[in-house]
Amino acid sequence: MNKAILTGTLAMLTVAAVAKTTITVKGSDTMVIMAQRWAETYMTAHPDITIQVTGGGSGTGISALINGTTDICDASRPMKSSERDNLKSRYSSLGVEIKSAKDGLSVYLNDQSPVDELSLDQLKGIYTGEIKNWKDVGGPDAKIVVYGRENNSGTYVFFRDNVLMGKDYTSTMQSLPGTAAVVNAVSKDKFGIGYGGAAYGKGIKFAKVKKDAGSPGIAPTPETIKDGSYPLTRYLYMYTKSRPTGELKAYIDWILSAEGQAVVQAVGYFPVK
Amino acid sequence: MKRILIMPALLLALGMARAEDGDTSKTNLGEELGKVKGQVEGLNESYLETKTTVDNLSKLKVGGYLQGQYQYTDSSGAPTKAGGNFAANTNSRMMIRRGRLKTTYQGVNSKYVLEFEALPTGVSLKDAEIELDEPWLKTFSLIFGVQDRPFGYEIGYSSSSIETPERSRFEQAYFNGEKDLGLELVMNPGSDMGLLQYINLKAGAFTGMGGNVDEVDGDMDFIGRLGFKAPITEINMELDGGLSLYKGSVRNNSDTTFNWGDTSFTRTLGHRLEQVDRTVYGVDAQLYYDIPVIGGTSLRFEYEWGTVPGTSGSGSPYVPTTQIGPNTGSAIGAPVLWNRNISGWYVTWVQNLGSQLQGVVRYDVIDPNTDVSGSGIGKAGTGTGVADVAFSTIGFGGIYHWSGNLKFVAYYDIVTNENANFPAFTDAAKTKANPLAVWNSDLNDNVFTFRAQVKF
Repeated sequence: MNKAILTGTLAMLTVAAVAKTTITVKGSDTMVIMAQRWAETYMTAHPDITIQVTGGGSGTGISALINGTTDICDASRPMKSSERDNLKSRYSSLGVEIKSAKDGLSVYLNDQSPVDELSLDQLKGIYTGEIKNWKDVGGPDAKIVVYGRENNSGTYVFFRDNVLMGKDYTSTMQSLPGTAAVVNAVSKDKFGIGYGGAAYGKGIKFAKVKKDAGSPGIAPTPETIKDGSYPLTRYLYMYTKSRPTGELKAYIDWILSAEGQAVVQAVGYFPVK
Repeated sequence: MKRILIMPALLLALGMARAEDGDTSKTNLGEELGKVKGQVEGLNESYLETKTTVDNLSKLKVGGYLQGQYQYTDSSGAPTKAGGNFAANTNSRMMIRRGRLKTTYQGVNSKYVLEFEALPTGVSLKDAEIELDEPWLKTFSLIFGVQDRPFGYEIGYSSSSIETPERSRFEQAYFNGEKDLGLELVMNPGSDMGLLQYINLKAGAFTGMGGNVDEVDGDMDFIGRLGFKAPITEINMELDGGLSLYKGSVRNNSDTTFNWGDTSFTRTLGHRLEQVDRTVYGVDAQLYYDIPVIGGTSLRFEYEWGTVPGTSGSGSPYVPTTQIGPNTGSAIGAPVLWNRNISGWYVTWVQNLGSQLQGVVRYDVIDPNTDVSGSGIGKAGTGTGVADVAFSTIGFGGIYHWSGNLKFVAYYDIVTNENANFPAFTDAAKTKANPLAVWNSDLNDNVFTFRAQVKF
């Protein structure tokens, strides 16, 4: 009997010893490629750690953090005060906000579009449906085809808050499930316009953005995003529900290290330091 | 030679035939492409229509929760604030404590909320709000309808989130049901508003009747809370707090008012249709701190005091009715108004242990008449009664979050009442025992609650 207990205990200890630590990451689709690269690079150096990365949007990630179904939430917008209150209510904690990268929220135009720059007001007009034709913003006489993100996306919220100033998107906007899908749609539609992270901007061109009609158009380049002169510069965040410890802390520290920030640049975003 | 000539001729003929076939194919392909394009455009139109419908539907959110519980108390028929008095001859029960269904429509710069309570006893309206948000500063909102009274902290804390099974005794007595009908201004500055972001304000005019009840005394009450938040994010700590004021009045529908004198209530007449002051002050504070490895902890404190008109049998706020008593000094037709000075406070400690377990301890005090205590209550000639008895309650328990939707709560309330001084008999011959004499010692009214809550 004692032998059986000893064998069972040893078996359990062995299982515990070989069991991998799993870190779950959920949230922003804008950040999902970067998060996957971080995870792959880190797991290569730490084979005892498993990091599971899924997208779904910043809002989905924050809900998962509050519900306790993810360790890290990736978000391309800051947490709202109502979300923070929910976190406080459930965990008596404010949550921990970690700025993990910088991004210039870019406006995508088809390569063949003669339009090169747009003011924030023009963007607002296009995305609220007040401006429907390219000729009203210096383009050809053609209907503007508007592409955007779904409402669980942090990019959707950031764009609505900072460009539409809280107004609703036009009902003709085609909502697509990820930034890659927006890029793909605009690259195939010469009258299309979309928005998303700078890192996804392959196969299309970025519009220069003007703060107002009299300002110069500024392209989302590493320099303009780093110095903040690009009007749609933003941080990309990671959130944990409480102060990270153990393997979680080690992983986040690594993301903020030179090695982790090199991944940020490799993917096309910009380091926070 | 012939072969040489025949071969090119054949090839030419074949080529011409293929070219003709190619032209036909091109024509067919063009037609097919045209058809497909038409179908895609049709699908696109259909998609846009569907999307408009789905976008509208996505603004409508439906949520709710259900609380089922088992309770056990020390004595049959015990009076309690842990979900209502136990029935006579009963010291345990199962009940659906709350069953809520909430619909929220998030429009552009506006929000509409409708929430119902569905219980075996019936369906009632809990919330009916129209919220308008100004789009410029994104700081101010106006809310009209049945909503939480903007007073203190615990009233606005959702019944599905609060760690103890019920709110503190003070809140239940003086802000019963949490809701009132009114118009409220909310100021909640965003993070881009500098130091203002740490201040918030909620204030408005309410009927003072509680719940979805029309005004009958023609006098609106002011309720407001000026709050602050002081986060120290470097160490994941935050101190929140606020000052609250309830300033209103109720109409005395009777001719009689009782006010506290030196040692007893004194009766005065000639107050019919007078507005009587109802004032409550409040101060509250909440401290949040994330203890590394263990989990977040919070300490919440609230102290409230003031003057509230009630009745002889209850310190809870006097609710005027449309029925008005005769101007004869008689109480007939309308309840007589009793003025009392009140106070109450609580302190709650919540400790998270990992991400699924929480421990909670609360000490809660209510004094419904601060002018009299202990042996002064029930004494002949004082006019005092059970409505003047103070209580202190220490409660403790644990919460297990099975998932994001399901949690279990086990909680025990140890309730201590002031020992009053009611006479043992109601007649001079001492043959009729006074049922109120049970209040001369501590009642056996501790309550154990085991609750399951599903939230969606």
